[in-house]
Amino acid sequence: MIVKEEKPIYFQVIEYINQQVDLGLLRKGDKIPTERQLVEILGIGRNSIREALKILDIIGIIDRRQGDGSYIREEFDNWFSEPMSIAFMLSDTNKKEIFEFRNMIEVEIATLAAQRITDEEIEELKTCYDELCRKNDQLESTKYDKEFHSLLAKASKNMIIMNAYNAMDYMLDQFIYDIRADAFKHEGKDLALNIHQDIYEAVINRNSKEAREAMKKHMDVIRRYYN
Amino acid sequence: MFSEKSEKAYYRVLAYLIDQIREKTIKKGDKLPTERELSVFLNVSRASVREAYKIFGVFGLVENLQGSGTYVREEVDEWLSEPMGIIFKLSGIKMEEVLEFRKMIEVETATLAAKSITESELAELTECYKNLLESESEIEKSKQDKRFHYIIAKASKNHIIFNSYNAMSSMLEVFTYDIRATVLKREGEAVLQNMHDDIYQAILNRDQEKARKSMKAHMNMISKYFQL
Repeated sequence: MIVKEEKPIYFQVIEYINQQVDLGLLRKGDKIPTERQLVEILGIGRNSIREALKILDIIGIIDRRQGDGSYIREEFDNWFSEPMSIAFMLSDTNKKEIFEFRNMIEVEIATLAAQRITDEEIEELKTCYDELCRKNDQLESTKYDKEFHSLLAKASKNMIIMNAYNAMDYMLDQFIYDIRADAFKHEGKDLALNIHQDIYEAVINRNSKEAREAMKKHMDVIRRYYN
Repeated sequence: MFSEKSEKAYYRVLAYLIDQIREKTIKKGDKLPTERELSVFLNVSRASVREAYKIFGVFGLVENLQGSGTYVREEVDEWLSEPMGIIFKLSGIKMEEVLEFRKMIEVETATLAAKSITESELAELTECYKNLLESESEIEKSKQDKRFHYIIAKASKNHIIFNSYNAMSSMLEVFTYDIRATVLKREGEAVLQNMHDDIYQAILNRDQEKARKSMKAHMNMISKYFQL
């Protein structure tokens, strides 16, 4: 019979940190108890504590500083996109699903981005858009096409959207490349440029209604070619 | 995190594993190489392999079966639960962001679910809906409410939606109770119950249009109270 192993002892440290965060006793940037203190608090061996701290460090919850103990990290903006992307890889995600998902979120992303984009982000979007217009090579265009949308996701200021978008990143290269190639073949090279131009102008003018309409048109094009 | 540029040996192991997963050489349910095999293959210490497996374990991506080795989990539905909970609380993600995201995806998710739900998922949804109606406590009702939407996400057969939903699990755990509390105070229990009933009936009858409409009504009602 196959028996699932019990949670390892070092998990108690993770659970303890979770509790302390729950109670508001640990926040971003706070120093966490030392190894010795944790031994006393939890009544488990020092090796298990070390183990836990190492894992918490690797997964990006704490920052261990030589000779100075461990601190809760300050920044968690992009934290779950990596494990999420592994979960995507393990599930056979196909093009239809990518389209379905993008179709749900991109129109709303464009709308939010137009409302929330900062001046700095407008500059970034401009640089990216200029490159997108300039490139003739399809691989290069794909790269900037992807970046264009990812910048919009960032400008939406919604961390869940940003993380989900970044987690999809590895799937988007092929997806965008194929659609661009197909759309190019059937409707010519100006199509992709016009579509992105409309979105770009609406967003930098902070016109959320037009951004919405422009992105809807973009999604209609993808709908025609994703298969 | 995993892709950090580092000389440390366990990063090499992690990078190798992720490559294999991307290439589909390692799939759900597969047994991972033993510590010894992989340490020889990658020319790293066994401790480094163990370290990497542990990290995947913390994320719920793999599990140890006693005496048999390390396996990629079939269902990655509990992945991240513990560390995710910590990060989510530290990150300061707001309820508004969760709702904003849900509002984007749930309407179409319900539509897809009405089209693609399997018999066994319907049975699961029915059982959950029954529990939602019959639970005595708000804590229990919140759990069932969360599960109701989760089953619908699963039934949509879209892995991106389902995985995103999973990633939000610990946030939804907290927020569903709060959202319900607000709605109950402002609208009363009957309104919330009717909305879930409409969604449930639509999906049960595989009526996509009604599923869309009823989920939209549900999301719009919630949004009213959270300035979306």
